[in-house]
Amino acid sequence: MALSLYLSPRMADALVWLGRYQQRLETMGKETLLQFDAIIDRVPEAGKVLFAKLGSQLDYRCATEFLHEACYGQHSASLLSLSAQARENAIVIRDLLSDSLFGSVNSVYHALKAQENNASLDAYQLAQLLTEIEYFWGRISTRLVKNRAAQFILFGQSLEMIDLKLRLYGEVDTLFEDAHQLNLYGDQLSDNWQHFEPLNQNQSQNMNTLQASMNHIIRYDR
Amino acid sequence: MLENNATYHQFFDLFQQQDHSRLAGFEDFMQRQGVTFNLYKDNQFIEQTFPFDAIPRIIPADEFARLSKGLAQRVGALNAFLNDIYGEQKIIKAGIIPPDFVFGSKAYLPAFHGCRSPQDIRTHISGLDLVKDSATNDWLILEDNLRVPSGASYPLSIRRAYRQLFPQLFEKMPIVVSDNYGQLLGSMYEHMNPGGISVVLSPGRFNSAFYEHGYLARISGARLVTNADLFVDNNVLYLKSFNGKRIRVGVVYRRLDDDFLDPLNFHSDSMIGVPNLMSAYHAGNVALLNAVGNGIADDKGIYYFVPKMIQYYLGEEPILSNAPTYLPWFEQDRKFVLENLHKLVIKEVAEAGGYGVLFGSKLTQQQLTDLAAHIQAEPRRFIAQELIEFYDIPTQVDGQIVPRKSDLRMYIVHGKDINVWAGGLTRFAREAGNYLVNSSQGGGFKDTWVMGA
Repeated sequence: MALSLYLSPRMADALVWLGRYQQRLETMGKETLLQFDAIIDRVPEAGKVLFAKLGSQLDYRCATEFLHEACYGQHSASLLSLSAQARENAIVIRDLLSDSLFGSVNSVYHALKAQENNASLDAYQLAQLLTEIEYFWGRISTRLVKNRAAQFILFGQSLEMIDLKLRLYGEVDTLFEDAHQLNLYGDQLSDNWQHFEPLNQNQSQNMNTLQASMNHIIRYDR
Repeated sequence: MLENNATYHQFFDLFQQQDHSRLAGFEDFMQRQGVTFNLYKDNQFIEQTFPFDAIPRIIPADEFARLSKGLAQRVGALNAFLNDIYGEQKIIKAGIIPPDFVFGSKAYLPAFHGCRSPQDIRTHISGLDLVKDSATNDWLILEDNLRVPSGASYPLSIRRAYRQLFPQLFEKMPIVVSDNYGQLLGSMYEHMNPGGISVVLSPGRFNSAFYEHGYLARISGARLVTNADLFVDNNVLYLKSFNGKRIRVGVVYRRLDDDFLDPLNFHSDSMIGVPNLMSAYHAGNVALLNAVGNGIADDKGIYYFVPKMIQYYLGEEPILSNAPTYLPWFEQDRKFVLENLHKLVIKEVAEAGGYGVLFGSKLTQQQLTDLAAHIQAEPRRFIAQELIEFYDIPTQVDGQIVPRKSDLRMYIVHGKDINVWAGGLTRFAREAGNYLVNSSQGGGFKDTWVMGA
């Protein structure tokens, strides 16, 4: 059996969360840029509405302040916080990641961190960082051999996509493709995977099913 | 005095032709790849990059050949000593090492007396510290590290960046490729393995050398684990699998000290050990690298006796010498040490990392008097060494090339054979005139280039 198949619950958990945080970072980064534009275009509440959906209350007076709050505010959905979480997960499973994958995660964190005390981080710089995050997914998908570690990361990505679509947009009818992808990874990773069928459930049930889905993949008990 | 050989001239001739703006690439590389060591300062966890200097230490082919023979010889003797001291203890019975130096050391673990290491190998990965004496132009051994020697990942990591940033140097100089270290480890695991996968056991993400643990796991084909990933059942060690299954583990390259390995056998409050690991070890179901109890062989007091070990166990004369060392425990040596305290270097045997090192020439009269009293009261606690004027090597500081004291840690992997890795960690003091090069004392590192024939 290839060494890549030997993963403990802790490692598998870190891989899934790496995928989740990377996806959340990418989505929130892109949404931040969209709401930044909306604030400029006289929709001042746009940023508050977005972050409230993830439980974060933002306070700002202009688009630039919003950008700073979105990136560095003292809340769990700030881009720096999401990037730090992705990086922590990447660090603990460093041996499972290629240099380019790890470097991609780490460099985004350092780029954000370097500007933490500098109010001049601008939307252009943020857009550049998002490109680096997109490279992360590209680096996984271009690997000739997708090993088990990559499958866990992609499972986390799929899970987070659905989670965010439900939280941010409340969309159930657009989830079919995402659910298909999630079920594909779920089947690859576990014989006990229970297919996620978003159309059969209400939003609250969907969220509960999603949160419990990791337990079908990772057996945390011995 | 600056070390100067023809190879350095060749290096500088080529180095001057390079685009020096590319030197910034090293810092970028280390930050992007997280080539860091961690430390706690004022109760704060800090990730720090290891200061790097691009001018390498260069070791000519003939010097490496001699070093290689000498280091393999030394590790062979130290391994024999460990097997003996946890076995028949013939060297003590022969009167070569006084029993006090073994049984009085905290590093000797009497509970492991009679416990054989698989294949009688205990010194799987050694890191021996050397300096090159400018008076004799010869290498001297300063220290043997046989517990958990660290540092190999830094020159290995930076070599890859170096080849990418300055390929011409590698095209035009006959630098021996050093990226086989992972293969040396992997082959050694295979030789030691009683069955199962290999893992690198780390104390965890906040350990100072966590970067290295992940790196070494990756290049050696092992899985990086913490104690939470492992369990022992019926004297067999397993990795918990994400799917509820168990995977047998045959080799543990442990990166934690003996005291923390197993809370049921050592420190009961260890949060980083694996309960019952020692029972699996005693049953011969898992190889621990390095073996438990190795600390006795790199005790600074025992260091004095290593040349005698080589003669005793191997029947050979040592190829590499120790730095001239005195043991105050011997009356004659104590008299000499007390009379010459002002010009000797005094080391506490229980300390490491550059701590507990006193330069007599830098002490006040009162401090010398106090130290003399300590030595008289507890002679086993100290060794004294003559101050070695070891070579400086050229180092870049603020764009200038200046001399800096440097040592060399070479790594020896002992499996089926004893292999000396053709690379090493060169550490340098960042301040002029400082003899302490340890990273814990603010030192930086350089790559070590071994030249081919």
